[in-house]
This record gives sequence, structure tokens and C-alpha cells, in this order.
Amino acid sequence: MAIRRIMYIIFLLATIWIFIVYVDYSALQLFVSMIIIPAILDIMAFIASRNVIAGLELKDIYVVKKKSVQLIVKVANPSILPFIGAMVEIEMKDGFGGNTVNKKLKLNISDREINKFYLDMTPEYCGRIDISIKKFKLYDFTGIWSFKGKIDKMVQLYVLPLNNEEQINVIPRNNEYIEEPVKFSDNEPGDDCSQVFDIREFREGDRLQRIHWQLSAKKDETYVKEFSMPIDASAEILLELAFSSNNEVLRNVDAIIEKAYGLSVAFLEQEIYHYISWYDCKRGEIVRRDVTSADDIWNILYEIYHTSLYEDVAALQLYDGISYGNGVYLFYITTDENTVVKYEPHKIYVVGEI
Amino acid sequence: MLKTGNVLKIPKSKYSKNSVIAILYKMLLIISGALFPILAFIQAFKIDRIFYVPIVLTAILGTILFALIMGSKRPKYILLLVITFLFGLIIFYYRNEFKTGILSVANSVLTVYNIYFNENIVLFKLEDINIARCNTMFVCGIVFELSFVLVAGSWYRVRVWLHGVITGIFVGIILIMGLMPSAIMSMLLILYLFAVAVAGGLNTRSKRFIKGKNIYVMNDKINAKAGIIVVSLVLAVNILLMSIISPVGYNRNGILNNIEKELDKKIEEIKKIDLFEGGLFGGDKASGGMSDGVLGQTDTLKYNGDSAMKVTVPKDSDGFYLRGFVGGKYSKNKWEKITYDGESYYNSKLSQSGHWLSFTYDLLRSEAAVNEEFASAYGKKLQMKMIIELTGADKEYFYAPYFAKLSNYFTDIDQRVTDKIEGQTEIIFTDYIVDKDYYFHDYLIAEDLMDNVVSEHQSVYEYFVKEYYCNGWQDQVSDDIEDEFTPETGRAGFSKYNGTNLKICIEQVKNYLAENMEYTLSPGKLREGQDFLDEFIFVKKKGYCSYFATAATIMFRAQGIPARYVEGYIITKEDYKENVIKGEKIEQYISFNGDVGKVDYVQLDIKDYRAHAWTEIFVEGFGWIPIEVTTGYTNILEGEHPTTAQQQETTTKKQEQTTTKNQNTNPTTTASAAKKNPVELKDYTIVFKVIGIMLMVVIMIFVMTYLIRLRFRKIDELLSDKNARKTIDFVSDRIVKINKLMGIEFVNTDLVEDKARRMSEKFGGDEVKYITLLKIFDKSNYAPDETQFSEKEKKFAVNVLFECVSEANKVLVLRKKLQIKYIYGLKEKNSL
Repeated sequence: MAIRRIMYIIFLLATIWIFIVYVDYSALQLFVSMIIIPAILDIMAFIASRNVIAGLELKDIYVVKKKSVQLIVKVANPSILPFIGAMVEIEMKDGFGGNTVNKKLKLNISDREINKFYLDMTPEYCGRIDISIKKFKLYDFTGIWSFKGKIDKMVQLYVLPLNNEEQINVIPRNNEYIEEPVKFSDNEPGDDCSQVFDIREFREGDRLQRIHWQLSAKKDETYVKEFSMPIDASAEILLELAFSSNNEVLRNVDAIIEKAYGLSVAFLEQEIYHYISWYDCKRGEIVRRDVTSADDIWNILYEIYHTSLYEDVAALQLYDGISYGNGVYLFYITTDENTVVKYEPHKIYVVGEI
Repeated sequence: MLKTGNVLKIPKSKYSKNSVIAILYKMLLIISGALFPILAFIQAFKIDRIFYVPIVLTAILGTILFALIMGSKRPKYILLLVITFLFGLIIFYYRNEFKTGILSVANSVLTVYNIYFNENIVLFKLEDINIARCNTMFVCGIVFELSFVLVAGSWYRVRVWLHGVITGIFVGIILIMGLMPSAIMSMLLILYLFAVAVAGGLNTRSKRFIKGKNIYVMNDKINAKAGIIVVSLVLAVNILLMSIISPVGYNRNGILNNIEKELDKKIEEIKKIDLFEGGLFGGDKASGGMSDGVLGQTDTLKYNGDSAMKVTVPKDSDGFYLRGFVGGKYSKNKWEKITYDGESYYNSKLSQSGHWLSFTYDLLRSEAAVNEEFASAYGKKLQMKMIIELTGADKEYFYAPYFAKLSNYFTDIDQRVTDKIEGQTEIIFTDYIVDKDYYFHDYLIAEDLMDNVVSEHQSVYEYFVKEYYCNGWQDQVSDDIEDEFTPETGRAGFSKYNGTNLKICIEQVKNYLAENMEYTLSPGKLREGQDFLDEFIFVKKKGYCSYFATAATIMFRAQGIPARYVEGYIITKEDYKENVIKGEKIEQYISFNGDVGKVDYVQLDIKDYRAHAWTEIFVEGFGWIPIEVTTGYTNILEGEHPTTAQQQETTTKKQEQTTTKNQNTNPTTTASAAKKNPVELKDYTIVFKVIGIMLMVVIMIFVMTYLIRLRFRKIDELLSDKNARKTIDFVSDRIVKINKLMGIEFVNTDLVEDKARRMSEKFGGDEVKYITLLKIFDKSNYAPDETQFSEKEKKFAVNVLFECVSEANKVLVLRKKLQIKYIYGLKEKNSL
């Protein structure tokens, strides 16, 4: 556009010069045309641009990483004028706030229709991508002037990790582990109905199935059963979603999530009750979610994708402060091999680019 | 999360269609680029004697030729493109015409250079060959080569700089030499400039590509649509501009524009060879002063010197006006021919008064107004004979001298027309070579005799003449003309005719024209929609006899004198000297008072350049009298002889008429006209022609596009018809046609498997697919009419058809692809 403006100014100066030197009707005509016509075109484009709106649409909001997904840029132009120049700047920001990619789309837009521009995008790492239109400009016919068009809301793309099959045997399942009787946590209730952890008074939010009807009838107050947490047979995957010291933040986070995902799937296949935990820096605590089905994994991923990365803290250090019982197998996934820990996990996975 | 670099890709299936409208827009752009700068150059440097039609045709055909070659994309065609270009260059170099053309054009530029920079560079000597042809061929050559350059540089991507450089060179030369393109040429150049701005640069590099951080997704069709909008806007603005700020009122005595006047003269000097004969496509034919009352349609009057008629006339005479066409009412750019029907009102009036029969014809010829008895009281009145044999003159008209009396032979009107064409016309007329004071005296003519000699029907006729040829003149002309000529109050300062000031009134008209108007045979054509009279009086201020006669007729009417516009031929004294065929001493004359004597007759060959237009005024008692108002001419009937200067003009008229530009008229009038030299308008018509042709092309394109769309829509409907059998029959028909294009033809004895194998070889894919398809076709061909087809079968057939179309488009040549698309109506399906 800058080139066009410069060209226009040069042309205008030339016509002014011709108008002064060549006192001719044509010179006047040239001069007036060079002023009036761009002005009219400008006004026309301005009026037409007021109703033009640009928006985004994703064909699928979930996509496995390295698979392509179609992003549709929609520009609705209800006016009777086409636009030969339009610029849509698309901003793709990763959910962890690590990276932003901007792309400019130069388009021309047909009149009286919703123009759709199809773009294939291939995410490299898992995570959440916020895709929005940062700028939307419409140029007049000569490309000298531009106007801002209306922008519709952003879209979010959830990139799912790949399931690496080699992780299926990483769980230390030995004979001893299997043969040992089930142990339950002394400190924390759980969901294993085979063992009652405690009986207490009914509190709001308790499930009706857990009401101890007999005791309630005797005492004339409502009591509920709390089940025990089977700590021996459970595993816990702890993700260290911290900023890494190098520049490969996304690659590292991707590696962590993918590893965690692989482990979780493997546990599910082996029907091992397990947890996924991570540090939520906004809440300032470790978030712990149990996984009993594939749906749980998706929900957890959704939560992880909306969390933020942190620095100067290690989830493992904080983990030490929580007592889950001694029977939990902790799988710690980090990118920093030098993490100082108080609580010794059973297994440390160091992943990502170090 | 997202890989940097080629994060976004554009699916190939989208935006890959070529749009007809975009291609045509591009072609128009290229044609304009090859044509407009050249036309501006020709016009600015006044390289006339050039034929515009072949130049325009060269641009169009050259562009189409190169575009067809370029569109095929194949290397051998590109080679052909280059060979064509080189071939053009070789012809360019070796043909003598081109060399002369180059030198002729160079001379025009050098002349301007000499004037502008006050130099004296010697001009090139031109060969003794047809300059017009040379100029035209040279310019055509340039246009042809330019078409190549622009097609090569704009077909896949419109390169603004290329268009800019080419236009810049030509316009730059024009400007450096202190010239300017005309208003219309400027408009076309502005139009072209904006059209390029819309089509080029940022917006039409290609359909889709990624460059750096930018992703381009472009659709040429949208640019073409926008281009049409912009071009229309430019056209509208410029036309509006020209109508608001009219060139008429624009002061163009700029510091550089005086050069143009000089240029006109200089260019005339270097064009010593007059070879304007026929030309490549023929020039304007000679029309003389005879144009059926249609005005302003001739750019330059040209004469061949052919014979118009052979006339046997009395030997001792100053000459004759032979009246042909007579115009009644003026209507913007023509004189309405007087017809019998048009005067029915007056006929009925006359018939009521008992003077209808013979008078009907006389009404037109008007001779009945002359009362013979009354006229015989004055001067020498001899009844004579004239024999006219038409050779080249328009046979539509009955040419006769003034005061002619019809012989019995012509009493029947229809017979008159027929006999006139075939043979000679013999006319008895009264030779009134009399004292001009008869009708120019300062008292009412024959007032004292009126009561006695003017018949009743004559008075009715005079009433008609006054009504028809005088009153209501204001309704026929513009307000400006009315303001100019209204007697006493108008700007021209005319007097009102009061019955006694006829001579003064005539002098006023003559003086007005002599002082303000210039005689030329090249006034240029009338601009579209303009009033002929307005253009002559206020804009051009120059013209030939038709211009002067038209103006004078309206002026007389404004003064209150009945007047009408006449076209015909004049016989002058020069004809007696130069064009005598044979002399005869045959006839006697009979005077009204019974004297009989001998008159020597002579047969003259009247040439086409004697065609003329003049004004008649009606003088009560005498009837219609010709008044000569054209500068340089003299009234033959008045017996006035030209002044030396005027005589010079009359005698050199022949040369003038062939050299077109030499406006060597009365020095006084030339000088006075030069003072008010208006804007040059003569070349505008050519440009309108070009625009007209282009508009026609655009309209044709739109119509074609519409028809093609209709066809596609029809076929789409057929393919989704509820009746599956109908669709399958259609698919079967199209598959056979595509097979033929691919070189597959089946005979009835072929096995389905063989057919499928052959199709599989050509179109690719599994044989089973084709076996299924062919079985569906067989079912359709041989099963009873009531057999139903499933929706699944229909969809399958349609899908295979489009697969075949897609495969065929990959391998077939352009012509066959177009055949599939436009003749069979099958577009490739958009794959999502």
C-alpha cells in the first residue's frame, strides 16, 4: 500500500505540473480526474466496508498433532462492491503463552456473498491454540486507502498428543506388586467401595448412594460411608509444566504432555487406577485428577491446556507437602534433570529438548 | 505448537478455476495498452492520413492471437509466439513501407522539435509512395509488436511497470514536445491507468501463493468485476467533467499550445505528396454539398473530380444554381426534407380555396409564386431550355434552375421521378438575368402592383411560406442560438425585417458569417449528441457551405424572412471555360413579349466538386431567391462577380477540396476566425468509434457468458434430475463423446470387459468400475421403459463421468478441453 501511495503522490504531482505548464483542457481533465476518481472510489469503499465482517471457523476443534486441520477464513461482504484488496492478519497463539505466530492473508473479496478461504494448518505440538483475527483491513480499488473491517470472535483449537506405543511397558509391574494385598490410604478417602474408610455425618454434596441407611435409622441422623483409597495399586503421573531454561518451551511441554498421555493410556489399558497431577500456578496448588476412563483423560487434557506455565517453582517440591500415603507409584515427568526433590518419585522421566 | 514456516497451506482444489471474465478483462487491458498510447501519439503529433480501422483491428487480432498461444502454456506454443514476434520484426525491417512510415512519423516529431526548441534539423526525405499507407502499416506494426510484449508480460500476472513504461514512453514524448493529448485521448489514458491499477501489482500475481509471512489468495474474476466498475466510474466522471467544464469555454491559450497552430502548417508542408487515393480500406467518399440535409457527418470533404451531370445550357450566362434537396424544418443535426404529406394541412387549405391541383407540386418547387405577368414587367426575361443528364449526382432529386417552368412531360409526379432517372431532363426556365434591385430594393416590392397581379393562390402560398419557413424558428434551435440571433435584442445585433430593409438584413447575415466564421473543408465530424448549429456558431466556427447555409437560413428566419436550406449543384463561369463538352447552336428563345431569337447552347460536364448548399429566401412577388452566404462564393444569379480575392478562392476551390487543409479563404475572415480559434475537435469521432467497438465487444462477451452459464445450469439440472434414467442416458451420451475425444470408440460386438479395459487404460482406475458403469448403460439402453434406476446407480454414473472429465482434462489439448467444457457443458467438479 505504501508503494501505491507513493505512486499516487508522484502521479498527482505530475498532473499538477502538467496542469500548470500545459494550460490545456486535457491537463485540467487529468488533474481533476486524479483527485476526484480516487476520492469517489475511497468513499464507495468506505461505505461498503462498514458492513464487511471477517471471522474464523475450524472444521474440527480437536486435532491430533501433526495432522492437518482446515481453518476457514470467512469474510461476509453484503455490499454490491467487490474488494480487490483485503488483508486479514491471523494470530495463532499457543495456550501456554509461549509463542505467537502471525500470518497475513491477502485476499480479494467478492460482492454479495460470504467469501470462504480454506487454509490447511498442521500443528506441530499438542496444546491449545487460540486463533483470532488481529487485523482486518479493506483497501479501496486503487489500493491507496484502507479501512478497518469488523472482526468476529476467535476460535480455539485443541491439539491432542500422539499415543506412543513404546510406553506401554514402562509401569513396573512385577510379581510382588501384583501379589501384595490391596492397601488403602490411612489419610485420605477414595472411591474403592470394597473398603470403608470412615463414617461421618451427611454433608451437602454427598452422594445418596453413600448414605448408611441402617446407621441413619438408628441414630436418627443421616450418616454416610466414606470409602477408602486403594493406594497400593494406584499410580500417579506428575507433570512439571514449568518454563524451561532453553527456548524450546513448546517442544518441552509437548513432550511432557505426550509422555503423560502415553502413560495414562497405558495404565488404562492395564486397568490400573491412577492419577494425573500438575501444579496450577493460578490456584497455587497441585491439582490432582483420577483417571478411570478415556473421557477422563480428555477432560484432564482440557484442564491442562487451560493452565499456565510457571517458573521458580517445582511441582515435585510442592508435592512433598501432600500426603497421599506411601503406596502410590509416582511418575514424575520433567524436562529438567537437575530438579531438586524432597520426595523421591519412583520413576523420573526426563523428556523434551534439554 | 505450530511449526513456523509453512504453517498454513492453501488447498489446491480451491481457486484453481480460470474465469472467462478475467481473461477478457485482461485482453481488453492489453488491447488498450497497445492502442491508447499510440492513438494519443498519432493525435498529438497530428500524424493524420492514417487509417484507424486497421490499427484497431491489429491490436484486437494481435492480442487474441498471442493470448491464444500464451494460454496454451506449452513450450512449443511459446516458441511459436516468439517466432511470430520475430517474423513481425523481419517484415518490419525489410518492407519499404515501414521505413517510409518511420521516417514520416519521425518527421512529425522533428517538426515539433524544431518549433519547440527553435532548431532547424533537416527533415527526412520521403519516397514517392503512399504516405497514408506507410504511416498506417508502420503504426500497425508497432501495435502488433506491443501486443506481443504486453501479452507476454501480462498474461499470467499483470505487470504494472510494463504497462507504465510503454505508456510513459509515448506520453512522455508527447509532453516533452510541449503537446497534450486531446480531451478524449486523455480520458482513455486515465481510464487505462485506473484499469491497470485495479488489475495489477498487489492484487493479481496469481491465484494463490505464499511469500514470506503473507499468503495470497486471489481471484481474478473479482478484479475484473472491480475493473469494470472503476472503468465505468472513470468514464462517467470524465464525461460529466467534459459536459460541466466544456472545452468551449476553456481558455487554452497556454504557454505551449501555440505550437499546435504552427504544427498544422509545418506538417502540411512536409506532406507534399498527395496520395490519398483509396487507401487500405478506402477513405470517405466524396459527398460534396449533397448530404440529403444530414449535417455534420463528414469529417473532411473529399472529391474525386468525377462527373456529376452533363448539362446543356445557354452559352452566355454567369452560371446557374441547380436546386436539388430542399430542407424545411431544422432539427438538431439535419434538415427535414419537404414532403407532400408534411404539408397536407396547407394543401387542404389550398384546396378549399380552389387552387389545389397544380399547386401541390408547385408548392415544392415554389415557382408558382412567381407571377409571370408581374415578373415580365421588369428587365430581361427570356424563356430558355436546359437539358440535364445525371451521371454521378444523386438521382433522388430533381435538379432544376431557378424560375424553371415544368414542361408537360413532367406534370405527373411519379412519372417525373422515373423518367428523370433513366434519361435526360428537359427543363424550360425563365432566365432572369436582371437588375438585382428587383428584389433588393429598399421598398416593398411591387406593392403597387400587388392588388392587381398577385393571385389568390399566391397569397395563400405566401401565408404558408411565412408559417412554415419562418415562424416558430425558436422551437427548432437551442436557447443559445435564440439568444444570439433574436433581432434587436440578440447578441448578433440583427434587425427585424419590416418589408423595407431586406437588403440590410441580408448584409447583416453575410457580414456576421464573414467576420466570425472560417471556410474549411475539414471541420471535423459533429460530436455525438451535439447540435450542429451550436457547434458551428459557438465551438468550431468553421465549416463548408452546408454550415454557412444552415446558419444563414436560421438567421433569416430569425429576422422574419422566410428562408430555407437548399442543396444542389452550381454552374459557374469556370465551367464554361474548363468543362465544355460541346457547343451547339440550336435553339431559339422566346421572350414573354413575343420576341424570338437564337441562343447558343453549350454542353458542360459538371463535376462532383460543384455540389453546393445555399440559402433561399422568399421574396413576396418573386418567390424563392438564392442567397449566397458561404465565404468566398458569389451569388451567380445576382450577376455579381467575385472580387479578386474571392475569384481566387472560387477558382482554387478544386485544389482546396483535394488538399483538405489549405484554408486559403478570405484573409479577413481567416484572421478574425483565428482570433477565436476553438478547441480542436475533429479527432474525437475516431475515439468514439474505438469506444463503440470496445463496448460492442464487451456486450458480446456478457451475452456469451450469460448463454454459457445458462447451458451449465441446464446440464446441472439434468445431472440431478429426479428421473434417474434421464440422468443416466445423459451420462451415457457424454461418456461416449469423451471417449471419442480420448480416442476410444466401441462397436456393438465389443465385450463389456474389453470396453472397460480400454477405458481403464485411458482414464485410469479399476476396470470393475467401468464394467459396472457400462452395465448400467446397457440396462438403460436395452431395458424396457418402465425399468427404474436407483439413486445409487445415478450417483455412481455421475461420479464416474466427472472422474473421466477430470482425467481427460489432464491429457487433452486445449481445444478438446474447451470442447468438453463449452460444447458438452461439463465443468470439472469442485473437489472439497
